[in-house]
Amino acid sequence: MSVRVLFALAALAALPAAPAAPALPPTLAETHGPRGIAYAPRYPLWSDGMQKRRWIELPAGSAIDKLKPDAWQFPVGTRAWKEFRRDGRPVETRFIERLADGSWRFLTYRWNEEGTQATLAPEEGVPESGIPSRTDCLACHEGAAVPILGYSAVQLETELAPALGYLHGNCGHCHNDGALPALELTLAQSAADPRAGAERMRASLLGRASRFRPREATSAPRRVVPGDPDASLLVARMQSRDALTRMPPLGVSVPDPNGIAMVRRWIEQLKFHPKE
Amino acid sequence: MNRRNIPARALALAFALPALALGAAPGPDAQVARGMYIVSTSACNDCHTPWVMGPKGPEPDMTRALSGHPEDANLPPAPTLSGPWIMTASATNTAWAGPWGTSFTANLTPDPETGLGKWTVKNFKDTIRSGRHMGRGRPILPPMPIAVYRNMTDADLEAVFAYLRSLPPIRNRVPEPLPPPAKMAVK
Repeated sequence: MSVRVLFALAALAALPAAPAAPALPPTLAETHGPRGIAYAPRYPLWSDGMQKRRWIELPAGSAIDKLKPDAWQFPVGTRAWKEFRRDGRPVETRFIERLADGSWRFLTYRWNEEGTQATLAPEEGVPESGIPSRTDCLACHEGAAVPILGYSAVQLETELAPALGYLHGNCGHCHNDGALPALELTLAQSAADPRAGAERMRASLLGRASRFRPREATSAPRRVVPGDPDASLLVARMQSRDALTRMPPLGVSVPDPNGIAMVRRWIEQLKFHPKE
Repeated sequence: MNRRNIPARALALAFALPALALGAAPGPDAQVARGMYIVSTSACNDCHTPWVMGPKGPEPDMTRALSGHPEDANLPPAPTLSGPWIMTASATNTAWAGPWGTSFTANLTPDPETGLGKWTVKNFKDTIRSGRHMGRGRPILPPMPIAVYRNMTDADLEAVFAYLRSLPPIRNRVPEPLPPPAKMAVK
């Protein structure tokens, strides 16, 4: 081994070791939950009709900083769980945790057939079971101002028109000013100023041409045509069963009949009440 | 990109690389030069620049560099293949059909309406890292080698984006991908 290589190795050894990533709890039981406060958002995300329960736990003696109503700051050590059930049987439990360095980690646990134990799903997810990869967790949760999407001032404390709440809860974590500014499409609502939030949403939808062109379209379709849900691309993409067209693009494979009906009613009444 | 500019840009690159090797933050010119180097060695033009038939055979049409599948191409449906042959490509090398459907390469120039003009560098990095459009939307389809490019460093992806932003914008609205024929009836 040459002297130069020895010097290089010595230099490497002298570097401070990168802090080891915290070990991943291999089972749901080892996340020490679900526990804490059970909560339910007003405008829940549609997940192919599965039943969901949610819990959040803060470290003892800590509190959420609610100074910014649209970006609550959660203390280090915050943990939250969301359980998915199909036909009354637990299928999956997702887990979010704020780590000591302020970052968040997103894990998901798959239940066994007996419903007695849930083990850590692989990093790439289990696509055939609808269990997301960890990259897909980030696709939704890192698009919003704060990664905990269901425990916020809008979701717990703000009265919104049903369609606006639905679009916030199902679309707003990506379609907001911060995550996808290129689209100029804001479906996220605001607890700090609900009127302004609703106005931003209307301005980005009503009569606006879409960048997305359905394959049969010869001209730019409108996101929302007031009074005409069938001509509104927003509805077409919510109703689509084509995986390359439908919205949301992940976490959903069956369109939500109630959500679609709610948005259609809202578009219909816009003909008479364009400010609502 | 005009190929006649390559020697001058390569010279800029030669000056830029030692700075990168020393860990210094690259200046804007060095970052663009680094991005051009990565783009030109990572086969981006192979699919994102339309090919035309030249006197020596197919070659990329650099007047439309990195502007993606031409919107006026009006392709007929891709042929149905069977057996071990599963993929076809258009003569422009910008449309690809296979079991996933038909994909069209994106316009990577900074045109604000049809290219990456309004994208943020985070949107670009999220796309490559996640394999989803803008990091959040539909999957990026084959043959885009996401599994290779997602291994690039943040600095390299930022350099690629900086270079793409330096290109002349070309207005070209690439069509949305088509699902496989069996699913075409699904809307």
